Amino acid sequence: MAQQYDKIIIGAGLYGLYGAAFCGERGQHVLVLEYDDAPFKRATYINQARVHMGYHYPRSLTTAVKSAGYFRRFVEDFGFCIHDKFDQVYATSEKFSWTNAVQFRDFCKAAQIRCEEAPVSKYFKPGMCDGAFLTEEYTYDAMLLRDYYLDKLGGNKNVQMKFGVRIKRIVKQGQQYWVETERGESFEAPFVLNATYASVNQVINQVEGMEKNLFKIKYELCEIILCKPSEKLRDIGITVMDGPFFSIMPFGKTGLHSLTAVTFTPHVTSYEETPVFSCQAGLEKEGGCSMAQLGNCNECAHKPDSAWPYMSHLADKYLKPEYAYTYEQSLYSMKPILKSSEVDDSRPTAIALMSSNPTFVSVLSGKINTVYDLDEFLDD
Amino acid sequence: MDRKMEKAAKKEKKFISLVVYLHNTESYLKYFLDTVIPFYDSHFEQFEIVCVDDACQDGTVDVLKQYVEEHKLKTMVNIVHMSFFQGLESSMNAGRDIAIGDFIYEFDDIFVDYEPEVIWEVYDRLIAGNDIVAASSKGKLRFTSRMFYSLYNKTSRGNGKIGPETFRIISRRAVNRIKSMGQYIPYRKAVYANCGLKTDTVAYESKNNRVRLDNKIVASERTTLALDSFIYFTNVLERASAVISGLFLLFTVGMGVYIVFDTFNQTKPVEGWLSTMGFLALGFFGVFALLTIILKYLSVMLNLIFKQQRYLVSDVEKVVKG
Repeated sequence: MAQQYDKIIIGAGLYGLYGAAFCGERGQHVLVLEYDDAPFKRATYINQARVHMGYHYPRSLTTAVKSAGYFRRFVEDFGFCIHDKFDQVYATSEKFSWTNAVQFRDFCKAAQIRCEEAPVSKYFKPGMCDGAFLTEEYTYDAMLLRDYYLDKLGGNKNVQMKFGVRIKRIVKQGQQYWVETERGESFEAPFVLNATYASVNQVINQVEGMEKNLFKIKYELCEIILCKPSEKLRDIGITVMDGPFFSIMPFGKTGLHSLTAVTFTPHVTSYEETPVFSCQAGLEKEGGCSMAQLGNCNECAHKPDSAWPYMSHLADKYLKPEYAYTYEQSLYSMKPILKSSEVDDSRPTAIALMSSNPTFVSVLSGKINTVYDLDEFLDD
Repeated sequence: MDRKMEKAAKKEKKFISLVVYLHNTESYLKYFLDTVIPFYDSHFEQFEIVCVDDACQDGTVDVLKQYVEEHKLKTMVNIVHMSFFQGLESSMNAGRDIAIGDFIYEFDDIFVDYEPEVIWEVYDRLIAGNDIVAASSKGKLRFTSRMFYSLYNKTSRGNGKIGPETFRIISRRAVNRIKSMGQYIPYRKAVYANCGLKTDTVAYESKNNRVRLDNKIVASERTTLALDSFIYFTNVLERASAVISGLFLLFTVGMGVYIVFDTFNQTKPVEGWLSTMGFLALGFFGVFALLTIILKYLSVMLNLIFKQQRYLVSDVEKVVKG
């Protein structure tokens, strides 16, 4: 006998747990199924931890304006995990940037977001940047956010979470989706939310009896470097933007900075519908990682060598020596990128209603503060 | 020699960038990569390769990507795609601007007529206290090249002498210095030679001189560049106009003497001839003097105009591995 729920949510990242809390509060019985042994072990944790205000999208005003709106709400709702006591500097590189200082200023004005001119020479070596701006952007601490949700959901009898789950198949049966796991458990619900980010297409592929509209994405195996900032860098975040540059900024409330670089953070790329990588060879058998089921890259024995020499050299080329930092740790995660978003630089949160009655919703978003986009899909 | 062996056993920790110019050299690329990459691999702990694709129309870029894929290169390979054909100098400026290394190797072409050890020798000379070290073939030069260098070095405004170079290595300090001297670099060799830092050259015996001599792909572009370089970096034109003005000055003076001589000797030329000639000689002198000034003025303006970003890049692509 399958256990009956109102909603089954696959993936215990922020989107999954937000959805669970949202529905649980409304008295619905929710089941969260997670592959890893704990929530927030992948992309929710392993990213720049940026609460996007929109500065990242100087070539897509609509994305920027939308980000700015959600920014306020997110900061209000999740203030406990937000670190905002630092100067977030955005700079435009003199060479190779798709956006120059004047264009960036105009863009901020149009999007109505803070942008105060700062002295370039305070942060950067001569001749590297043509503009630097103090902006309003924060960072969130994924571990604090996780504890908040574990606490909140733990006290809600409507919500049940299962970890270490291996889904065998999902079958559409009449008005229900029936989910079977490798362990032989089965669950049923008229609503499934697929919030598995990099595995979104893999989960869609597991569904029987539903038309499969896979997201058009490519996959990048990404590395975020955590480093210990010098005294001068501690309360500063620096992003040289829109081109083959880098970002070094506080990583939540950990006291560490994350270092990423557009060119060096992605290590390997797959253009297939589901992620296919040479590092998966030999891992399939152990139930680890394959094009049908991604493992956790951060815990994988095959993770690539750190690109620290590259990223640090790139940052050092720009930054004045007093903004020093030392290597602590590398974090790896798989990042799906919607193919349509490259030219205009927009990063839409894609939410697809793949079937109704029973309902199957897939969400794909690389931004934490657009989580509110889910509301309208969860309401019915 | 001992030092070399010692160094080879213990890989260098400095981060190296290779900036390689590519323009329709499909058939040479594999040999270049086969020769150069294993050498860097065995001598340097970390390096990156920046290939500048100056609007290649043949399969050069595909060969490169295939090579990276086949050899599972660990090192990072980036391709800077120029928007359209912009020539060696602009393209290499773009490549150098994006390179992140402590030291940057510039390969202006990919014809290998040297032993890989030369790559190490230039590095060795660099860390011995130079900021720019070039590798130069001892082999014969084209007649036109010889002419160019000899004339250039005689007329150049700076102290640095330039010569044929196969590839070179420059330090980050030199890159910064060059940057602070002005934005636009129409001819790198000339700027490097005159940046005021220590430079050196490693001369090597060419294994096969013809490979470089025979390749005419960029020959016409080089001719234009050679002419331009004379204008940018030498005072040939100023001198030429000064000489011309000088000649006319002499001529005018001669004319003056002749007029004075005529006046006192009471020879009777045609009425008005003396004054006409005097006026003409003086007038032409004035014109050429003015031209000299205008030329000088133009050269100053030239410098101002070229202090802008002078290359257009369409894309920077990382060669991806699966």
